[in-house]
Amino acid sequence: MLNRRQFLKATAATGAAALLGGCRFSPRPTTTPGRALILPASDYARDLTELILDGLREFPELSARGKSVLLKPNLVETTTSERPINTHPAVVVAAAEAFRRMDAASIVVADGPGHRRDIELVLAQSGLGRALQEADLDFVDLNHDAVAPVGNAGRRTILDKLYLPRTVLEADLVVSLAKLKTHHWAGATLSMKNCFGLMPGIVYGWPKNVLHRSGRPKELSIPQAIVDIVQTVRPGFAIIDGIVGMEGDGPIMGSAKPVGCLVMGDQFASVDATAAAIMGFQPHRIDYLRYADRAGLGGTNPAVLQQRGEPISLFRTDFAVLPHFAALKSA
Amino acid sequence: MNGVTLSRIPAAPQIARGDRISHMDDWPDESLAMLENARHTDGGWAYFDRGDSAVEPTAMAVAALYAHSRNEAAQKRGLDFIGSLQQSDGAIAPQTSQTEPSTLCAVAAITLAVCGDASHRAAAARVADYLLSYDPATSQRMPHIADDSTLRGFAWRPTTYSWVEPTAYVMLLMSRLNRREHPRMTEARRMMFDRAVPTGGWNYGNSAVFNTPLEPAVMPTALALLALWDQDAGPRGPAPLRLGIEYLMQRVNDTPSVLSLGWISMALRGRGFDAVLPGRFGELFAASNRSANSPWHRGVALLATADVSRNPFIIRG
Repeated sequence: MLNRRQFLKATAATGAAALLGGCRFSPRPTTTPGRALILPASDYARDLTELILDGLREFPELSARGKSVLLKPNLVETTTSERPINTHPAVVVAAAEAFRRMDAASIVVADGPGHRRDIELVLAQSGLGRALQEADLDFVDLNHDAVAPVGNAGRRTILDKLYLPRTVLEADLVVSLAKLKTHHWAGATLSMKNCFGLMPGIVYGWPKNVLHRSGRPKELSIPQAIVDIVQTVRPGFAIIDGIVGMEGDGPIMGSAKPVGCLVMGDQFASVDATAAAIMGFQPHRIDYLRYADRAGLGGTNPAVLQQRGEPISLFRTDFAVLPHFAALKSA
Repeated sequence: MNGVTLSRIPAAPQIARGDRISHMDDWPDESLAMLENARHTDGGWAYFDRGDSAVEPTAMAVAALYAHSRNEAAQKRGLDFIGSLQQSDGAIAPQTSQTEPSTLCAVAAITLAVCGDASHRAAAARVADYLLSYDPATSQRMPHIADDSTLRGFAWRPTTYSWVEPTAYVMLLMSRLNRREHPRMTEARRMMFDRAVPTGGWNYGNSAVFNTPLEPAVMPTALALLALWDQDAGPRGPAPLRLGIEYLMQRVNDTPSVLSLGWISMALRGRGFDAVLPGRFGELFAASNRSANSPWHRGVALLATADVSRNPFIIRG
């Protein structure tokens, strides 16, 4: 079995992976198996490292020993307001410490914010910069990293290849540290949408408009691009910060929504479907989750998924959405 | 003087006494030395302390050396590095590891046009021709977006939508090449005013989405003000300019990054304000190894404190 770096090297050599034929998904729940874990976390002051370690132990196939680990928080925007836009620094630092205790060879935190070119400003205003400094963690600005092209393993967009930052290519294990939020274009932004930030702005712009406009037909392609990125990068694990999420006009202008949990797992579509169900959404109504289910990134029907930890019902809450996403809540 | 008094610029914070003072005071010389040492063998500079040579940090480094009249040989090698990435259609790839061009080539071309010789100026003109050769995406006006999406500015990449920062870079380039009367520049100015956030300033390029006004950001605001240098910011001029200046003034004291502060300083100095802010840069370099080791950040800070007449990114009427 190819490891992640071998896989990327192979797709770089061939320039493409399998071209999928047609996308005729019916808007119905599937029976694809999958798994995800929900852990209770009432606030950011508790010992999140132990909690995350407990969660990681639920996935014995996951190994960080001797690996270079890249932690990718959601760091999309800065604001002087208190809106919970970004993955909380406490979750990022706790995840880093958890992977350290799992004997990771190295850990780097990295992101390429979608709207801002000044990473120092984003780090300072989000509070993440100080937290990383205190935890002695390095940060890499993926927007301005050296890049290399690899074949687009998903091919739901028209892009034959995707440029990835060298830091991403060199990582053995990419971990998506996402935020539980609504998204005014995609419905919800969770562990998969968070991977947009792995894509370098120096190639795709600010916002990463090339990825928005590469569909078949050419217009809006955010759902397709999300799946292409995840299939190509092959991140290994997802942790969603659902301690305080965002409802309404997310991912930036919404309102805080306390939920009190972390959602984790190694099957990204299943993790996101579980998180979406917690938000009160029907996961199969989110376009990119349907595509991801079909692409083998995990099942998306909460009734079929193997749920570990706490049940969805314990945290399910009604996230407000913009009117054009009201259908996400319909059975 | 633009209808806004100098006294409204908040004072820079006091620098603590002790050893850090000399370090912080020394940052310009330290930065110039850093640029000379961080140059790659191909003549270019990277964004940060790792990475390939790239045109934007190279352009900033060259412009900083030019503005401070340092190391002409390094300037020429940097300009030649940028020129070496120029493609047959005039575009310049952003870095050696990426062949697809972006509108960052306008940043490089501004430096080529101002700091270079005749061959570099010819290369800058070819960049301008390339940028004018394609149309960015437009669409019918959309009810959920406040902006006039029929207007063309410039996009980061061909076929995508126009955004504030690339449009500003291209407008500055066209001004440097005496091509600001081009019809695309007239349209770009309209686009810039259209995208201004109603409360003041600009962000990446949407003023309101789904009826929610968005927040301004420092770098796009500063670049918009620099690009609109020929527009009157006084009481009789367009309101977005006055509001943009006021927004930047409010951000001077709480902007905790070299890059953003550098562009604030350049934008305000371009409008005639005394906003050199050297103490702040020293403090910020001392606080961030990433900035201290970034030729990009060093270059912007040096430009922000250089003689305005030697700064390729500041044009004064």
